[in-house]
Amino acid sequence: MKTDDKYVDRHYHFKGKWDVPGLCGLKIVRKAGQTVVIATNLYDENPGTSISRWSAQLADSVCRDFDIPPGELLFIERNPDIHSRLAFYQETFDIVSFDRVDGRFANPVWKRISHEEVDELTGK
Amino acid sequence: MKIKLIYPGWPKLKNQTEFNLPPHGPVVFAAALPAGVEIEFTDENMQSVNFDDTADLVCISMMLTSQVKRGWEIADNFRARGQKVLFGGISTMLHAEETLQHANSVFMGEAEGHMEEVLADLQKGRLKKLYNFMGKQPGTQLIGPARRDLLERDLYYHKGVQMVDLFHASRGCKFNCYPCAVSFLGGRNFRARPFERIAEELDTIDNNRLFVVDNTLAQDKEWTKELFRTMIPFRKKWCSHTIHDDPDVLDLAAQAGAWYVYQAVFDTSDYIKERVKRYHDHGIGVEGTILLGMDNQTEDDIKRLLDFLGEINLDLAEFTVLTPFPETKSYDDMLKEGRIFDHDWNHYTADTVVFKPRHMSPERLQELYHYAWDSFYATESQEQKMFKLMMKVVEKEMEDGTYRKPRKDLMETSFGKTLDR
Ligand code: B12
Ligand code: SF4
Repeated sequence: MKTDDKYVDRHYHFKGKWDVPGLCGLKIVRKAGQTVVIATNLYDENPGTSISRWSAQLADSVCRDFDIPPGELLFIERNPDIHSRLAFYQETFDIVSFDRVDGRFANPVWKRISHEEVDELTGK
Repeated sequence: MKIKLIYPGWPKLKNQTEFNLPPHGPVVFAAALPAGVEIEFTDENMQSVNFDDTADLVCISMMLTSQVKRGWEIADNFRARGQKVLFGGISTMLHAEETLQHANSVFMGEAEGHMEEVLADLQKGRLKKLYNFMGKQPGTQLIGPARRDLLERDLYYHKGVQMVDLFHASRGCKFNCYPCAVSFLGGRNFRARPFERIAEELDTIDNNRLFVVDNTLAQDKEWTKELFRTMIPFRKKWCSHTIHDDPDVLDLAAQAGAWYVYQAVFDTSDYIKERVKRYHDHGIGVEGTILLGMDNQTEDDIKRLLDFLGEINLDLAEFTVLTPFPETKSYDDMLKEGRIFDHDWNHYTADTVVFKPRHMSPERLQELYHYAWDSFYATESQEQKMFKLMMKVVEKEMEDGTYRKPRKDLMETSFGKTLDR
């Protein structure tokens, strides 16, 4: 699968569920007081856990690896269009919000947003 | 050392004629145990569990989500009696966090090459809470012939006719379909067993009919052809999941004894129509597997799909409702969208709606599900269609001299129970 590069600046390796290595796309946009992180599911290119199943842990490790203060993170999950005939493989964006439990992200909740809203948030 | 190995029972599809196949995961797991271990096996779909029995280790093998609650109950009961319980198998991996609460130990991954370590820990009194081999699949040469000798063979007969034996020639799947957890379980790499080991195992199976449970036989064309060439001399007749849509492959499949395939029918395209026809042209029957309740299906789409089934001459059809099983994209999507309203794993049987469909109410999808079974089997019952499919295999067996008459001593029984006549 070839994903659209507009929202992917780099590939990011992470340790997924049950320590299985995983891979996702990342775009990080730093603004005053807020850092927007777009994590892209790479489906077939990802040998491990889907990022939807690992949002909280992924958000933790992205903050750690890229020095993002957890309080400033705006985490967006992107599932790209893989040009399948099946509707559930069309592009979606969700803002994922978390609780903070013992200094870590927990209990993800997803809110669907449009790509126009994403572009606005990333200042495009 | 004595191991008590248990396969918990699960509720069957209510609309489907009852059938019970010999379990596969547990007997393949048993083959990975070191020689000299005494194993006693109970398939709870057929036998009751003796809780008074004692063993050095109670092993619970779980395949389906709808088995896990019963598996946990069995474990709680044994543990209350001071027995140690180890869990493994497909739905153990899918429900590992919850299973840990009912276990002395949970094994994640494929068993081959690891059981010596687990049993050594047990003997030292240091059984670990978690053995995590996810993503570290063993070499397929280690997969030994399944221990089918552990099965109570006479239970898997209906009116004297033996059920198919399960067998697999490969693991993993390079695809990653929406409702499926296989990529999480076995990795994205197709992993073939060596042909000499496949032949060795086929040689041990005292049954002329098999279910080749490989995820799909459409992953590697050349390998599939070689597999069929390996199978030809054994003259087994078999059913399987999808086979490569290629005339050479289908030709070899037929020579190797292909009886019928499970083919997903997901739309009303000419592609599906022609695919079914090509199987039939090669003398291979088709059981359509039809998943209802996908996000792209409206009520009208489902009705059109049902009409279409009548046009493509399926030999059998099995209907299920979309079920968001853990570790699938379907589960992720439904969870994100807050659409799962029933989290009772006992209802994850694939005949009960546990989520809010996109285009109709859950109740309407449930009705359409029953309507699908009724309408497909309206003119000819499941028993009649199954009988016809059975006659196809009998014909093939008569031709090549492999036909075995039903067992006279089991004519009056069905899966171990005496028939009321
Ligand atoms: C055979 C099969 C069936 C048979 C089972 C027959 C039987 N008597 O058991 C039948 C046809 C009945 C069946 C039915 C269904 N199935 Co089914 N089935 C399979 C299939 C194809 C193969 C399972 C298998 O034998 N694998 C090979 C063995 C060797 O692997 P294994 O079990 O993982 O065992 C290894 C390890 O796990 C470990 N291990 C196993 N046990 C233990 C125990 C211990 C203690 C330890 C340490 C290790 C260990 O050792 C083994 C060797 O390494 C799988 C897909 C797959 N390829 O795995 C789907 C699969 C299990 N089925 C699935 C589904 C959806 C169903 C249905 C619900 C719907 C359907 N129609 O498909 C129905 C059930 C409906 C109902 N309510 O009755 C899903 C699971 C969904 C879920 N979470 O519940 C699977 C994963 C397929 C998929 N595409 O997603 N199925
Ligand atoms: S549904 Fe079949 S082909 Fe698709 S990922 Fe699952 S096992 Fe592979």
